[in-house]
This record gives sequence, C-alpha cells and structure tokens, in this order.
Amino acid sequence: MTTVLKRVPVYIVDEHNEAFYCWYRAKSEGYVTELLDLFHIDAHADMGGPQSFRTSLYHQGDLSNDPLTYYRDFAAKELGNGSFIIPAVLVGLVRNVYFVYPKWRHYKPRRRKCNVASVFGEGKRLKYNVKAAEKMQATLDKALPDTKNFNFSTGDIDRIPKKRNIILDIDLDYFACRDSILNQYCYELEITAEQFREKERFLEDRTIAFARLHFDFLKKNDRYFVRIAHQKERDTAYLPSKVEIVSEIDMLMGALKSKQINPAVVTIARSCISGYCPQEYVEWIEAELVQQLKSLLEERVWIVTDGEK
Amino acid sequence: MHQKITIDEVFSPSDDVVAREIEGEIILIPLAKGIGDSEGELYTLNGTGKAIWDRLDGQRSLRDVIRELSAEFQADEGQIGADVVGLLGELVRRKMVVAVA
Repeated sequence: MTTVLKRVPVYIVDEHNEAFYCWYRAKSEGYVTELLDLFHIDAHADMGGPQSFRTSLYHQGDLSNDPLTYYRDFAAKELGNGSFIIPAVLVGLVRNVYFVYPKWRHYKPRRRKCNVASVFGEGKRLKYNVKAAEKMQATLDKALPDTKNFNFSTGDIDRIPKKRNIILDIDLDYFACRDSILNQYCYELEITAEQFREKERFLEDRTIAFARLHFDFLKKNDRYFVRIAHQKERDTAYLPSKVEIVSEIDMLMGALKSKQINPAVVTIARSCISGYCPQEYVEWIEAELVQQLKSLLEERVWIVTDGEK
Repeated sequence: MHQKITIDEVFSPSDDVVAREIEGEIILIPLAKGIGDSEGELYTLNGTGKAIWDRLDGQRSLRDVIRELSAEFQADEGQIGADVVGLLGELVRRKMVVAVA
C-alpha cells in the first residue's frame, strides 16, 4: 500500500492582506480540511482593528458571485496589510494565532484569550474582546451570534509549540524590515517662479506643521520645483547582512522541522509595495526562503505566484 | 458631572451605536471607543426603555415623547417624565444619544 502525500500550496503575494484570500482558496480546494492554528512569522503582529466593512465578511451565495472571486476582492478592497488576521479568525479560516516575532524585536512573550464577533452577526462591523457578565450571556448570544474565541500567543521562534498541523504565514520583513514607510516617500512637483518666490510666506502657514510635511524648494535649469517629504520619524529598521538572513532562514526551517510542524498551506508576503521589506532584499530573501521550503516539504511543495492566483 | 436634561430638548441615537429589537428587547451595541461605560459592553432596554428609544427620532422633543407615552399607557405625565429624563440622562452620559440643535 502506498501513501499519497497531499501537496502543500505555497502562495507568494505582494502584500499581506492577500494571504486571507489564499487561506480561503486553500480551504475551498481541500488543502485545509480542519480548522488550523496560524503561525504568523512577521515583524508585525497584524492584529489591527477595529474594522467596518462595506460588504459582509460572509459570502452570500448566488450564481453571479462565486466565493473565490468574492474573497479575492474582499481581501484586496476591505482588508489592510495589518488587519487581515482577525477577520480570518471570525470567518473560520484560522483558529488560534501564534505571532512569531524576530529576535531583534526584543518583545516579551505573551498569551491571552481573545474574542471577535460582528454586530448582529452581519459580518460588517467587528467587535473585539467583548466582556459580558454571566447574566448578559443570552443577550450576547443574540447581539453577537458569531462570536469566536481564540488564543493569541506571541513569542520568538524558540517558543513555538510542537507537533502541530498549521497554516504557515511568513512576511519577508521578519528577516529585514523598515518600520517607517512614510520615511521612504518623497514627491517632487514643478512650481511657478512666483510660487518659488513666495516660498517663505508659504512655509509660514502653520497647517504645514500639523501635516508633518517637509518642503525643499529647488531651482534647476531655470525651472522651479518643490520636493515634499514626510518629516522623518523614528524607524527601528533592521537591515542585516545576507549571511545573517540566510542563518535566520535556516533557524526558522530548523525549528519547524525539529518541532514537527506540518504546514497544510504556506503564505509568503513580500511586503514590497508597502516597503516594510526593503526592495533590495525582497527578491533574494524570497528565493532563499522558497529553496529552503522545498527542502523542508520536499516534493509536496506547490509554488503559486501572482499569475496563478 | 451629569448633564442636565430638559424636556424641550430633541435627541437622536448616536451614529456610533447600533440598536436592534430582538425578542421584545432593544439591544444597543457601541461601535466606537468612549461610547458606553467601558469598551466591550452591551446594553439592553426593557419595554419602557424601548418605547422611549423608538421615539428618539431627532424630531420629537422629550415633551412630545412624554405626552405620547402618557396617552398611550394612560399614565401620569409626571411619572412618565421622570422615566424619560432618567433614561436620557443615562444615555447622554454614555454618549449613546446626541442632542439635536
């Protein structure tokens, strides 16, 4: 008798909110057959909220609206790259959440019980961590009928539990990260000579201080420009060497293997558009990570990139 | 400090509260921080509270509400007025209703 091992889809996406759709797709295609815990390997917890959606988190079936398309649009239009996990818990894609942060964060491990629900079960307005007295339980059941309780644990890779079937979710910013996206943005606009002459008066406008913007006025070849940037903010950037990153990937894969962690699906977020993972790192971290995943999961790996989604 | 409620004021539900009638009671769910006594609490209104809440439409003054309820329940306006002002005091304190100018 032979045992056929199930394929493990590895979805590679640009921004992390797309992982929500990938988890839905993996479930609908039978790669995930039970409610699994999420191992979220990331420099950020991505547990943001509260949220209000224009469309419901719950797909209402009709012929013009297939669920895969619905959830792909939902992930793209309604979810942010720091607020996609809690909706996934509510809709039943994820059970408990383990946020595995990089060691350079120096966070403290924690564990807490959480809950999430939507107002009157409509899937549009989410409520987190509602606490009600026992006598209010009946009311709670009516007001928030879709309440999901879950554990949220945080720790570094050494603290992950053993022997689990999981959803493995990796953000490349775990390995190299810029926290401040605003620091990266700069816009240059051409202005008139008169606007250039009036620059001192323009800068006296106190609303500029509130906007936290910085203006540089430039003259180049008899043309005038203003360069607008956000005022620099604190950025705990972590930009290690290639050797250090390869070692970190080794450590991650080693921990998954030694602790007998069995991913049913893997999502990799490049975080390249937002800039959390610096552009110059993205391509080769992804390549190294995929290679190591192939080694870990062997012939079961099925890489799904943007074109196949 | 409690805000004094006068019966010539007009109130409407806050946009940050969702209310729905389920099995004869009104359930109020705050949607934003600072609404209600503490985050993550729910509120219910009994029959009297429901009758008052249903009339907070941003058009009727509390005086109108008291008059209507008094006629409907054939009760003394003074007693009904105390109930209405008492409930509105709680709702205003919890920012679940807003006064309409």
